[in-house]
Amino acid sequence: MAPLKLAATAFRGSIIFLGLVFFALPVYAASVFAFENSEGQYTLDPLRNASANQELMQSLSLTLQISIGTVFLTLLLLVPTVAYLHLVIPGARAWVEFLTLTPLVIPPIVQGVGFLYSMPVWLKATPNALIFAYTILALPFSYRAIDAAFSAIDAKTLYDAARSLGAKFSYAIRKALIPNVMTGILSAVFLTIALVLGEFAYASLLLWDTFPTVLAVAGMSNASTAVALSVVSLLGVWLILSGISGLGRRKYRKIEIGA
Amino acid sequence: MSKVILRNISKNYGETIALSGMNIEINEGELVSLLGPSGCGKTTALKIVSGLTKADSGQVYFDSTDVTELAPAKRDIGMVFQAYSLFPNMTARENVEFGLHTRGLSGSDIKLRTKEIFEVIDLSSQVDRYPHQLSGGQQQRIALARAIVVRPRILLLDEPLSALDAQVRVQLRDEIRKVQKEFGITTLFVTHDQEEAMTISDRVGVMNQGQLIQFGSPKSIYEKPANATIAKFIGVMNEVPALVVDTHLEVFGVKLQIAEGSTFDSNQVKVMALIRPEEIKLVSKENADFSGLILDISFLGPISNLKISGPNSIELKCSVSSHEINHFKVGDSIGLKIASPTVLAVTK
Repeated sequence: MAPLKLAATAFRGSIIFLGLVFFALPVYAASVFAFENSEGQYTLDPLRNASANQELMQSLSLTLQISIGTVFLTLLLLVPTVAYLHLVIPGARAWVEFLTLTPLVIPPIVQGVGFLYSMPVWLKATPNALIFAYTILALPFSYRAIDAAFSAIDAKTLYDAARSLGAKFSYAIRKALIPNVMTGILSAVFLTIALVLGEFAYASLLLWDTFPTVLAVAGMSNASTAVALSVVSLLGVWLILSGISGLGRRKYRKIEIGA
Repeated sequence: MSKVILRNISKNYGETIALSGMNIEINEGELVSLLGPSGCGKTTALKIVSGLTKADSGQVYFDSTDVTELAPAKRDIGMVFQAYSLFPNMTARENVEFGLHTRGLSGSDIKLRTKEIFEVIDLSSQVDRYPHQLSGGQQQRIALARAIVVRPRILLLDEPLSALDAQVRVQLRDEIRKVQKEFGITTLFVTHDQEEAMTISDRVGVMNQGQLIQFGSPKSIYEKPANATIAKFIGVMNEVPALVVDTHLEVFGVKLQIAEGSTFDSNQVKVMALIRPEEIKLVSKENADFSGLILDISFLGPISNLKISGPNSIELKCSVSSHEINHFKVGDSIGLKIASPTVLAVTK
């Protein structure tokens, strides 16, 4: 191997190693803190304690329900919108992209108060209000994931090809477009779930006991349980995200091996 | 297969006129190319035939049926696009079967037709491959198979060869023609490559600025271009200074007839004559109309292209058969003659 190539490989390797250390070290430290008992042995007691905590389990169940609602609303809103933008009015994409960025620049307290004022009472009185709030909060991530997937496939040509072959609108979308943007859709789904599982400000402002708010309270009395749950949820989300990136490649890899 | 008629088709994009009152008739089983520079409206015309774009005014007929308002899915067309348009989530076989499924064919018919078409395009070994595992040429051949397998009334080809390298382009061009003839499908082919249009087509429509300016056989368009724009667009042209004398044209002292389609003011005396390179012949000096000096010789196999310094040091391009110039070399003086009795004249 040429010295220059060797140096480049070593440089790339060291960057990847530093990156891994940067992400893995805090998780390792948190795991040690959460799962190591006073005798220096590892134990799953913090997780057992958590599962025995009714309030924590109820909040987890509520958060998962809100996640499902948020994912459903996000996909209902974004998939047709992004498809329409790519197929009919591509010129408007820049404007919509700008709009989806607003949740990042408007402070959560302003958004939270805005929601409180703008929502009807029947909705405000239920935790479902958070579904609408989280859908908007997740827009910068979910929109980008779906938009990037549509951009990668030349959606307009595929759609026109399907129509020229006799496919009606719904068949063309279902067979020729959606399967090709599925990785983007799944990314949007799991990014949204990840956001809901970790969101604290809105839930706290709107006075709902979701998993992150209860976890924060639990952390004040039993820090190791709170940290153990944080580590488990972090690893869970990481596994899900790894699954998504693997999913897109699996089918093609299988064919290449068989070819 | 059907006859296609476009009657008075117009289409604007905002202030831009894409098509202006276009009329064309494509006969059953005929391959017609629409040829023109980028932005001349040829793709818009094709998309209006397909139904993917709606005309602002005018009618589209397939035989005697007015299909102007019909959705693309109901027009019974096959289409091959410029960009690779195979569905990435489907294998080559699934791509080809797509149109057969939308038409509700039985499983056995789908299997039979798919097998046949893969044999025709000679890609039976690639049926289970995904588009990303195929070369650009293979992808376009499968796109062609996908368009033809449904036995469409009309086949529409939107610059299907432009993304391919030169060798594959020629192969696929010949394949398109072979398959089109074999199935006898009425075909509209859009291209900006004049060589492609001339070799593949029964008739060529030359377009410019949203209008069909000439429609005829490749030979008639090459030999009798309707105007100077077409003459210069199709093939290579020498532009040489000429004088209008009475009703004739004087080029290097040679009297020639003015061709129909010439564009210059009636009071103009000094014009430019347009002469094809193959219309300038090498002759012996005794029979020559004028003489020239060979500046360069490009050998292209059966023919050779010469660059010649003519009278008044005007540079001329000349195409001759290679055996004619065996005993000539750069720097030699040669006798020349304009073979065509009629030439196009344009404003200087």
